[in-house]
Amino acid sequence: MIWTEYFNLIKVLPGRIVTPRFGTLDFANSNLPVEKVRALYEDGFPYLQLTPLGMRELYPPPPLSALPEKSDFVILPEKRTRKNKI
Amino acid sequence: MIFEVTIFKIKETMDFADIGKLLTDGKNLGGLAQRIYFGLWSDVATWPVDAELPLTLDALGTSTGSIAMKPGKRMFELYTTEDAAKLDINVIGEEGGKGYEFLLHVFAPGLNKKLLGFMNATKNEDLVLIAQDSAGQFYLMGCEIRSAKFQASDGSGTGSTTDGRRGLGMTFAYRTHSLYEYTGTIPLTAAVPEP
Repeated sequence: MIWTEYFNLIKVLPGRIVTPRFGTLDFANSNLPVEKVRALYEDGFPYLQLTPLGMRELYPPPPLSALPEKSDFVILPEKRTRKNKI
Repeated sequence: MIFEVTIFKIKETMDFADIGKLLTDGKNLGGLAQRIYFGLWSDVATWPVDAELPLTLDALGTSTGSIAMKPGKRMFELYTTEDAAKLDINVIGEEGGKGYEFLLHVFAPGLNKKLLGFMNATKNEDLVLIAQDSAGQFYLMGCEIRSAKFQASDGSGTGSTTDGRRGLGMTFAYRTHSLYEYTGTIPLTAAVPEP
């Protein structure tokens, strides 16, 4: 997979950007390692936006088994409402 | 009770700490990288900001955020000869008004017309500059209210002997209230308008 399928470059034209973490990277190059781009995104790099595919594949929602059990929820009693008399 | 705690934190804006020998694996090479980054001060759209409520010495020595350029504008690179560039940090001002002055010295080899044009274009301009030291740390010269300025030319010309060198030696100055490591990015590609 190439990084551009997971991330969009935003606010600048494709080209070189100096990053404190990895030095100068050329974002016109589609062969940048995805893990490197992902690390920048997680650092708060201001020129990257996650694509829907990136969101699905890099940050998938937790599986249903990881969700809290139904018994963990407290079921509140139904609220009594006062009906207006007509 | 909550009100009292808040007041205490605002007053306590700095938390001193022990400072040991802060070298990573003994590395401490001097000098600057052979690239300086420059741009026009008026082309910068947003600037890094001071850390809010800096409670640690680390936070007090780091600016937060990155410079971002106006649409169509970008930062540029300037090559400098190895061991010919340095960043001096001087304390300026009188008691009660002390601050700092960065002096960035660079030497660009050759007297190429592009270099001459650079000197012509920048000598009276408001600039933003970023230098990187040999440890990889960046220093930003310029902020929202003050620019870096071309201050002097040192050693510019043809040299007097054949074992001398041709080129432009330039010194840029920037005055600031605080010293920060710049931890943001440097866009060498043009900004585009946000949708």
